[in-house]
Amino acid sequence: MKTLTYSVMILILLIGFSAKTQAAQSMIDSAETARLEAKALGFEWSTTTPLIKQAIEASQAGDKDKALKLAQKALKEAQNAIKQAKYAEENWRESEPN
Amino acid sequence: MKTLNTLVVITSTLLLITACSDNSSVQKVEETKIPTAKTKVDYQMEVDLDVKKFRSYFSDKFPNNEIADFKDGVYAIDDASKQQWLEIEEFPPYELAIDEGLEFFETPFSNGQTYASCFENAGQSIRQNYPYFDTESNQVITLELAINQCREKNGEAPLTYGMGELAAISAYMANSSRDKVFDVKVPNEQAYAAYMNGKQFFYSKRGQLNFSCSDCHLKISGSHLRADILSPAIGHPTGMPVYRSNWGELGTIGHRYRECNKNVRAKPLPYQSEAYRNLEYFQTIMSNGLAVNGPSSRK
Repeated sequence: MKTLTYSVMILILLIGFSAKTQAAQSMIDSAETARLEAKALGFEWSTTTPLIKQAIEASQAGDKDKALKLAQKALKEAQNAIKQAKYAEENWRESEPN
Repeated sequence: MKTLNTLVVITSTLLLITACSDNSSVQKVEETKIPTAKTKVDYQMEVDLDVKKFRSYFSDKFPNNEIADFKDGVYAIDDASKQQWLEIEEFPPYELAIDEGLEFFETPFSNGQTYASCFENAGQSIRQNYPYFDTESNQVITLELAINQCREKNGEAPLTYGMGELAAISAYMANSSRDKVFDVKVPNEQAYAAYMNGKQFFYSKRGQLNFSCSDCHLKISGSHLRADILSPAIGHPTGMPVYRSNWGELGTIGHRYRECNKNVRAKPLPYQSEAYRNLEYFQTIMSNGLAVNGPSSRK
């Protein structure tokens, strides 16, 4: 009975860890995709790649929570850079002298 | 018979109206074709209008300055900084680079040719014509790009952009062009597109700090950013390449663009990328009429 309980607990832990790993990796992938889109638009921020690198390092070190947080931050930055590019495309003329 | 006659008359009238209508369509098409030559003039007119607005902005902002003064950058608008700069200019920190540039310039390539073979007037007194829009390759050619194109044409590896040997050669060539006046043209539609691309870059906010070139060097030019005074954008290219104290050596305008982008936490683009060349094209056109005074020194 004891063996069964331990086995179930280990299984739950493994499933939880695997889910976190997947979530972190998925977020890193999303951040990288968004970064590349910002780069293609010529509006990549210099702070995004270091965040993604840190997320990968944290993930490799087993700190999936930290990896997820860093990747989320990187994704937000890249999305903001894309928004910035779109805003500039539509509104840059407002800064011209009259 | 009378009905038939009436029908013939009506048909003829209709045919005549249709013919007239068709004719006017042809005229309209021709009219839209004719202005092609006029449109070419309009590109330059649009640009000239931009230059006028740009100059007016800085004349209004700094009423004590003549337009020609802006070739001195930030030192045109701050007397205390200018006095320090003039003292530095007594023993210019870029002087050695000019001598090195001359040596590089005159050293023959492996095939016996020199840089002089690639440039108009043997490379002397031509800085004011750069960058220009090359109508054959349909791109902006900066002086630094032309130097490396010359090397490649003569079987030599291109030099690293930004600083070092390339900046020294550029400095020597600029020095031979001192007091020549910038007069960069927009010759055709493709050139105008490149100009507009550079203009859009100049006015677009970028980086985590959300700043455009124009935010610092137009809108709040003359203001302090910590201990530094933001220079006016008019005149930026005249003193290039530039010896900047924080670099400790001479660098090109492309190097400065990359630094500015880094300062606002935008990922800098590669040296001589199309966007930076177009930006230099736009900036130089805005400084048309100002004299070459490069190389120069800045804080």
